Amino acid sequence: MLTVTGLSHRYSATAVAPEIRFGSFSLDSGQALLLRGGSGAGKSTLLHLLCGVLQIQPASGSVTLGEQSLQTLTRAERDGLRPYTVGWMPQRQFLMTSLTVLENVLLPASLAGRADETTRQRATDLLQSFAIADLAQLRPQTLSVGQAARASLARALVTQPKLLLADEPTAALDAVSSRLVIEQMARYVERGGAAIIASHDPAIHALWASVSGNSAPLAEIELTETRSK
Amino acid sequence: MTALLIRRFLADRPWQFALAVMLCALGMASAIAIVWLQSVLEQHARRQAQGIDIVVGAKGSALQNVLAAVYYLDVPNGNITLKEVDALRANPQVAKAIPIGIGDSVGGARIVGTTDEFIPFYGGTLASGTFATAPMDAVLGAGVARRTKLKLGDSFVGAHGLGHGSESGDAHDSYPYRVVGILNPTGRVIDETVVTPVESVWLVHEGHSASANGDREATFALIQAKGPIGVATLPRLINARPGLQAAVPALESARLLTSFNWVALVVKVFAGILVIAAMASLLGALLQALARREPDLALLRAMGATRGTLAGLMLGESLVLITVASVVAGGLVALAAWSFQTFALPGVVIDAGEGFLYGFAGLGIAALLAALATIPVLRRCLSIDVAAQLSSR
Repeated sequence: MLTVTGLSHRYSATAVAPEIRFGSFSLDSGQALLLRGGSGAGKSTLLHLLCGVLQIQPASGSVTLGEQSLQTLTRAERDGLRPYTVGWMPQRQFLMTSLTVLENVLLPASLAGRADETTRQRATDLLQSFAIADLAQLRPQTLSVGQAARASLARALVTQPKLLLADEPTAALDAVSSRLVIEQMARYVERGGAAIIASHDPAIHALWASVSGNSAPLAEIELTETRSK
Repeated sequence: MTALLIRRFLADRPWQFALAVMLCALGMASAIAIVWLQSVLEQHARRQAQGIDIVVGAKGSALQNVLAAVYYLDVPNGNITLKEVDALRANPQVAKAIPIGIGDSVGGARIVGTTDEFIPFYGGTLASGTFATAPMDAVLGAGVARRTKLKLGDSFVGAHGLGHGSESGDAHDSYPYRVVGILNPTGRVIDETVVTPVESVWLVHEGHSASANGDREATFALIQAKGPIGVATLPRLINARPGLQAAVPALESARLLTSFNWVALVVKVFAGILVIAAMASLLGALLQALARREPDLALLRAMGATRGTLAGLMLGESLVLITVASVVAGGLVALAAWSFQTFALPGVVIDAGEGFLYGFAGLGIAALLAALATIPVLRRCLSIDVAAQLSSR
């Protein structure tokens, strides 16, 4: 479903800007991939490239998602990847304080004009399974970090995307919240979704194994600071 | 979704929204009110002189004669004899020659001794009572009746002197006036006038002036010519007579207004500055709102919102702000017009239709400037670095 070949990225077109190299890998439906690496290794950058927020520059490798070659997409087409093809759980918990928790979860569907009754029910079910259904009508500022992380993941999953990208999903979470978040990701992969998780949390692999067993193995890629000028 | 977000964005910070609305509204309202009320004042001044082609008074300043006879804003240069007025009336170029005698006042309103022609000449009609039929009968203008609370049958005495502050002048206690009629409002000086037969003035002032010897006097004669030729030729004829001076209100008013053209220009420039200040406050409010919401806007982009959606949000917020500010500004302008009509210049005719025109023109300019003010906000909004915003918070 996802094929990355010789991908690299420069944040500036100038020759002195460092180039981050990601190499090649592929991911199919029902598979999960853990991106490891220290700060600055390029984990978030890779996710931004895959979800279309950053443009893949010409001659910087290729990315194919389903039948689409991402580097040939216009900005509007890349915007169109989210939220139905790619679900994105950004680093930390970004929830809009102007909206209720339920409205935040429904946000991607609402923006696409597809917040129908089925989607609403799915959002409610997700909140239920994340154990935050009772907080649905509250504003996010009243939520704990763990609850906000669960709401953020529910929002990424509400559109039933083909590919889930999660950036440091367990950062600053307690054990209970971490387990709930990873468990839901594993369920999603077991149902045929594909997930890429960027994390430097050393416990995440063991956590994944404990909640999914062998039904959805978590592959791993180590990103190192292979930058060149 | 866009409407919901705009509503929530504004509702989350009601005080900032209210402050931005008030700043915009005050700027717009001040600008509209200044320009509109300036126009109202000019029309009011023109309306007072309507139908009066020439003012005939004693030799002196022509402008002073016009101010005293037409606007009741100055003291007369002196008196003219009634014989001269009769001679003018006999001139074939003269349609009307109405003598008026002024010199006393009551409650700040001038008492005008004149003939039966005076009230119809100003378009006055009776609201109650009758016209004056005998000396010391008084017909009150609508504004005088409202302000002094005098009713039909009431008596009052005039005080020597003209206009406000003259109450300290000698009161003519021996010659009380009796209210026999009250006029409907006309929007002209007659609203602030007490009209009485000219004989009343002679009676009250016997012993005060030389007219007691039988050579009756009036202060002015208001002349309406039969046509433009009369307006052109009569002044020269009148000025040739000893002791008489002709003043053409249209010319004197125009000369006065021309010398104050710079004031009108300053007023318009000031109004323009107020509108620009209002739009600057709108721009400031929008930029502040944008800075506060950059992470939210980045998140919206990450969740699939197009750049058009973001532009719609900012434009929508700007539109709501300018719309609410416009409604408030309209209310403030209406309040200013009402206050002006009620307290500052009672009797002034304010044309609401013209006010709407000024309002729409002002709001149109404001909307245009608001759109211009939104451009830099939109540029900044559309260039938000989503990746940077969502990695740094």
